Amino acid sequence: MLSPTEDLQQKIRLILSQVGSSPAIYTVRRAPLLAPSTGGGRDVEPAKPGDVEFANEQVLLLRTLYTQCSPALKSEFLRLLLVQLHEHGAEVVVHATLEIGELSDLKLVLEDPNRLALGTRLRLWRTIHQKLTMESHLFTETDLSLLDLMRNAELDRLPEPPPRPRGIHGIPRAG
Amino acid sequence: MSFSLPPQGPQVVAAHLREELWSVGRTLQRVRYLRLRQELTEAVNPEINTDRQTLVSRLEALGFRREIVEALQELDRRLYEAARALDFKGVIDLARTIFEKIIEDAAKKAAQLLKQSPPSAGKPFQPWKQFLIDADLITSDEGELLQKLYNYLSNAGAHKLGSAPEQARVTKNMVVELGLLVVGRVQTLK
Repeated sequence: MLSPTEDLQQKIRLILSQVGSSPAIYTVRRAPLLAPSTGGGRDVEPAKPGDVEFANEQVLLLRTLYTQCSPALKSEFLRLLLVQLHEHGAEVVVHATLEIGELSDLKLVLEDPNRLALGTRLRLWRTIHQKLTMESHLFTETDLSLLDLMRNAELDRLPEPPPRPRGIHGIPRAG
Repeated sequence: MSFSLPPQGPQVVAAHLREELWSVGRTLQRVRYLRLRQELTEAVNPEINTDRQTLVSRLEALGFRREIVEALQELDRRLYEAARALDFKGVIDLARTIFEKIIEDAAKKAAQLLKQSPPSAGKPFQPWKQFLIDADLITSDEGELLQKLYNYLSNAGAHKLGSAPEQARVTKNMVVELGLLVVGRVQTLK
C-alpha cells in the first residue's frame, strides 16, 4: 500500500513518461516575427496575449493533478516534480514548475552546480526563454529582475570559453 | 516551437548555453522596452485623468458610497495590469458595477435633495435612471445614452468570456465622462 506521497510521485512519473523527445508546448495563432536587430543575434519578438495558446497535455495534467492534491501534498508537489528534472522532459517539468510554482523554485535548482547536467541546464534555459517569449505578460517586473539575476549567475557558473585558435599570422581563425 | 540538443561534448553545450543566456538577456530587454512603449503611448490620457479626479471629488462632496471611489481606483489598476482577454473582461465588469452604483447613488441623492421618495430597490440601473429623467435632471435622450452604455457594458463584459483592450479602455472612459455628467447635474441641486 503506497503512501500518499509515493502515490503522487508515481503519478508524476507516469505523466512524464509520456513526454516526447521534442514536446510541443504552444499552438501558435499568429506567426511569430523577428525582433529588431540590436547588434546581437536575431530573436523571436515576444508574443502578444492571444497570439499563442498553451497546448501541452502533460503540463496541463500535472497542473490538474496539483489542484486535486490535499494541502499537505501540494506542499510536496514541486519537490517531487523537480526531482524528475532531467534532460528528457525538461521542458514539461520547467513549464509545470512555472505554472504551479514560481521562478524562484527554478533558481534554487540552478544554484546547485552539481544537481543538473549541462545539457539539462541548456534545456531548462531554453524553456524559460520560450515562456518569456510566448507569455511575457505572465512575468511581473520582479520576475524580470530575478531572471536577470539568474541569468548572470548562470553565466558566472559557466567555464571560461577556450581561447580561439590563432592562424599563421597570429590572427584568430574564423569560426 | 521544439528544439533538440546537439550531440556534442560539454564545451559545445556550454557554448550553446552561453549563447542562449545572451539571447534571454536580449529578450528581457525587448519585453521591458515593449511594456514601456505601451505605457507611454496608450495609458496616458490627461483629459480623462483630470475628469476622473473631478468625478472622484464630486462623489466625495456629495457623500456617495466610498466603495465607488475605491472601485474607480481599482479600475485604473486593473486596466494597467490587464494582459489577457479575461483580464479586460474583468475591467468591463467592474466598470459596469461602478456605473450602476453611480446612477443609483445619484438618484438617491437627488431624491433626498428634492425631498422625493426614491424608487424602491429592485432592478438594477433602470429604475434609478428613470428617476433622474422624471426629476428633469437628465433628458430622455441622455437617459437613452446612459442605457446604451449600460447595455454595451453588459454585452461586452458580463456575458462573454473575454474582451479586447480597446473595449475596456473606451468603456472606462465613457463611465467616467457620463458619470461626471450625471453627478454634475445632481450637484446643481445643492
